[in-house]
Amino acid sequence: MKPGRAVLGGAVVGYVGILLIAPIGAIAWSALSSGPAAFFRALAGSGGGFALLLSIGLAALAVVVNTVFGVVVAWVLTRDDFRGRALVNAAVDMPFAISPVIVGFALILLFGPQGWFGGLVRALHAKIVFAVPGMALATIFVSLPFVIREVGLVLAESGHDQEEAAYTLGASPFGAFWRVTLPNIRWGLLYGVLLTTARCLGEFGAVLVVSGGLAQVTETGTLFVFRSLEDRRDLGAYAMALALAGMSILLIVGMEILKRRRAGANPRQGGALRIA
Amino acid sequence: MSLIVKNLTKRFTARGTPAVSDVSLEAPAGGITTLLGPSGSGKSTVLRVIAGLERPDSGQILFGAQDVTHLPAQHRGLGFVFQSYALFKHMTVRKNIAFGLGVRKIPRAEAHAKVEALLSLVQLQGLGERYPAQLSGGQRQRVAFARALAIEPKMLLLDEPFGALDAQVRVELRDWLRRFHDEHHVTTLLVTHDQEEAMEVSDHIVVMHEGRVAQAGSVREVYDRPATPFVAGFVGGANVLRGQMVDGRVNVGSFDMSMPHGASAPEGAAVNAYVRPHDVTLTKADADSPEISVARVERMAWIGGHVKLSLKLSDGAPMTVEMPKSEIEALGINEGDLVMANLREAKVFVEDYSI
Repeated sequence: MKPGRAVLGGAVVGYVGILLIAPIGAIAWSALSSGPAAFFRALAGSGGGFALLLSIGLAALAVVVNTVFGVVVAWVLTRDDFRGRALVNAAVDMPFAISPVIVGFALILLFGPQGWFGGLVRALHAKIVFAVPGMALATIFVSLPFVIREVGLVLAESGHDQEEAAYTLGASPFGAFWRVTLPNIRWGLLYGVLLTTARCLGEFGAVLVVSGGLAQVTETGTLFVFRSLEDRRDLGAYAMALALAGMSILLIVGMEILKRRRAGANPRQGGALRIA
Repeated sequence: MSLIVKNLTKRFTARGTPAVSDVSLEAPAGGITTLLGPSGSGKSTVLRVIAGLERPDSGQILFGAQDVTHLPAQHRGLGFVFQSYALFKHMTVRKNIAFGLGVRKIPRAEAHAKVEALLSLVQLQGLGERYPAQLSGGQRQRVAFARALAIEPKMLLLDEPFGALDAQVRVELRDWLRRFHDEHHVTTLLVTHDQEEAMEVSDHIVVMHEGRVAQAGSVREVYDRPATPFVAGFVGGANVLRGQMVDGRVNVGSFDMSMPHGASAPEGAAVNAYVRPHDVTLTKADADSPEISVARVERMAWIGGHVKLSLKLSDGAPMTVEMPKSEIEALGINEGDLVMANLREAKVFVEDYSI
């Protein structure tokens, strides 16, 4: 290897190591340094268990909603040309650009007691802001683009031909979608779902603003970390942080294994890769 | 089953020029009809409207006596073959071919037998368990043919089916199509921009230009009696010689010829003569004929049994000539030589200069 290459390789390892691996390693070290029993006690104690479950529940809800609507939106954006298409296309990226704190604030502006729809919410005896529905809205909002973008990419790449072929062979639009489109976009979809899940589990700002962060009521995993640090319960913060990061890492590793197994067992993936 | 298209118009944008305007055509039952035209001439759009993949703005599509203009693609029962093959990437060859049978709820055993028969028809026995990515371009297109034929289509619609293939595979598959058709007589509509392909495969040709039908007829009619300057230029790759009417004769550059029988044009009218490369005879001798011109051989390309010569006429205009290799050798013509060009045939069109 040329010296230049060695330096470059070293720089990459250093960069990834310092910025990505070291923080997670530090968290893991701190969380587990008092032993596994202390780790689980800290994780479950003072509302931690509830917070973790709420995080998972919100993520699950956001994944379902954003998967169903994400596929529909991606389909429409790549297949149809309509008035306002460019606007919708740009709007989809908004959650990437807008700070989550602003999203939370906007939800309060809309659904809070003094908000635009505050009266309506009261009239319906519903509670959105400082309650789980508002947190769900915030989570769905911040994780909206992933499925749309990943699926849209695959849809645009694979074109409309295969669906049209299915139509001419007698398949209904739904049949063509189920038997032709969905299998074609499955990897993009799975990747989008993975990113959505990871984003939801990590959401903090929007949920903090909109939830009020009441332990055992509206406190998610990330909010628990925040409160634990403020309350000087460091081990609780480390434990929850490790649990959340661990879930995200597991998702990524699982995705990689799945991808490789499919590629190994099924030569068409290999063929497609060779062509690409 | 015959196909009739009546006054078809299709726009893709509300105010733009229509992609297809007022197209009427007929594809007789049991024949191969070709829509021939350059890219952007609207031929694929016509095919897609016939298939039900695009909705026409106006006009009618008839299969025999049945009006199918508003019938969805699913219920038209046509076999459509795409230039891009459009195979289902995640399905094996066998499953691709069986797709239409599955939709029709054909019993498993029957479908299986049918797929086997189709695999051998397209000469892909033993490749049934492969995925499209593991096949060559020619093999993929044959799977696409088998898949389209599986539903026993009333008609085959082929959208540039050989366009993405290597020259040799293209010719093979083209011959296969002609042989298949001679045995099975499925009414076929082929779209292509390749005039050689059109002339080789089809019984009837519909030449399209700028969204309209320029000429329709048998292969020989279109070739021998082009109806418009566009057809004369597009089919057969003619040289265009520009000139005008002088003393009642056609004067193009250094050539002078009589008007075709029965035709006339005012004195001084601009005329264009379309001359096919093989409608020119070259000689080295001094022949004394008014339709003969002196030219210089700029370049010669030896293409198999014939020679393609690029000439520069005495007035500077270029001209391409094709002659049998044996004749060129007998005449002893080489690059740089001066030759006499004699036009055996030319199609003359008077330029339309309405103000």
